[in-house]
Amino acid sequence: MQGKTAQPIPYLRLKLFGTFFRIGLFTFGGGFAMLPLIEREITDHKKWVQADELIDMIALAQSMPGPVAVNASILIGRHLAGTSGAVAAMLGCVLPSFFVILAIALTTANFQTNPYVQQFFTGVLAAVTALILMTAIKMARRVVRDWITALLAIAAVILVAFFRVHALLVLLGGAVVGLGLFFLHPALTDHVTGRADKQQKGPKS
Amino acid sequence: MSLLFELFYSFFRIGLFSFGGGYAMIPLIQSEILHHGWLTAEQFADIVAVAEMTPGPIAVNSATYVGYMTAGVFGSMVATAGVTLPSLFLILLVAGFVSRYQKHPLYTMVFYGLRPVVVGLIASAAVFIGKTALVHLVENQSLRDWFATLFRKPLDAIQPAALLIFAATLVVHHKFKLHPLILIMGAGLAGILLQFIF
Repeated sequence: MQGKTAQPIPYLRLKLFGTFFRIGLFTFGGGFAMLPLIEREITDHKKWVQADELIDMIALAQSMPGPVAVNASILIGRHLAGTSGAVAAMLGCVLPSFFVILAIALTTANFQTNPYVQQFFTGVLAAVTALILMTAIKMARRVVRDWITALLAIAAVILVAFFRVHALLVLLGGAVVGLGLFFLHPALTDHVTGRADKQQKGPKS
Repeated sequence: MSLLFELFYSFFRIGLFSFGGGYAMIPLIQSEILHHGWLTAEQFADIVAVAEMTPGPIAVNSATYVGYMTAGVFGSMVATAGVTLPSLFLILLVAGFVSRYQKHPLYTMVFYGLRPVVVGLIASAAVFIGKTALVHLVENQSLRDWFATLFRKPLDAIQPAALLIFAATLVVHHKFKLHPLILIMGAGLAGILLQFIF
């Protein structure tokens, strides 16, 4: 997953830090709230990561311990500029919340009980819900190609959102299904592998 | 000194052993903090509420807060470093290994199974946030009871201002492709303005 970009690395590191600092500053409502911003800034706008690569990185970020947002920033930073890029992106992602919490702890103001603040966040969280939903739909269009993938996506939503099954278990299930298909269904494996090759050749030409 | 080490070690363990991110991490964070007596249960509930209204992952937020409360600015730095360093080490270790096998059909098939699950997890995150943001759910209320309320007294079951902002965000994002930052800030302002109507 090593990057391939014309920009000099030191400048790229600074840009990585700046981009993730801006994203980190506006990630309200948990790590997933970061995804619409990452998609816009990293995939659509700067074209640092391809849409398919981003989904793989999120899969990996979800499967590792630690905050998903931090994991994703480390993966993207590493992809673009190696270890130093990973550190730059991680610091950019973590420092905004560090400074904001420190400022709140220092002032000891009960800002969360202020009615204007509460109304502001009613609006913010409503928008974040919509943005995350749009991201899920956009990604589903790339990922759901046949009935197996459709079934997996629907099963994941039902198990996690309604039966509160742990995310890690559901991810494990998806990996096991993929693994099982590799061993039991060579025709599908060839089909999927061929499609992956075509996709990787496509955008480079 | 030993307190700083204790903070670092405790949050390092949280970073190392909590999977699933966000709210899946809360139980482990809570038990570590209460076990050490660093915060009371009410203080911890407070920090969870604050974390919802401040940017960033809840694990980082609580590390910074607990670190500051127990050992000042230096403590907040140590705790925050502790909770993020396992991610850095593990990912740098694993990502190199994973990328080496990226072309292998086994890798392709594992990710063929993983990708739709990730999409499902993202959709579930929308459901979780929407449950607190868009509707009024009484503690432990079942889906059936909620629907019953929806038909009897619809305004008790939903948050009309939030639903309006939700719908507006969907439409504006789809039509005008505005930057999410602008949408988020605009939605916050709309939240303040709409209270004068509803």
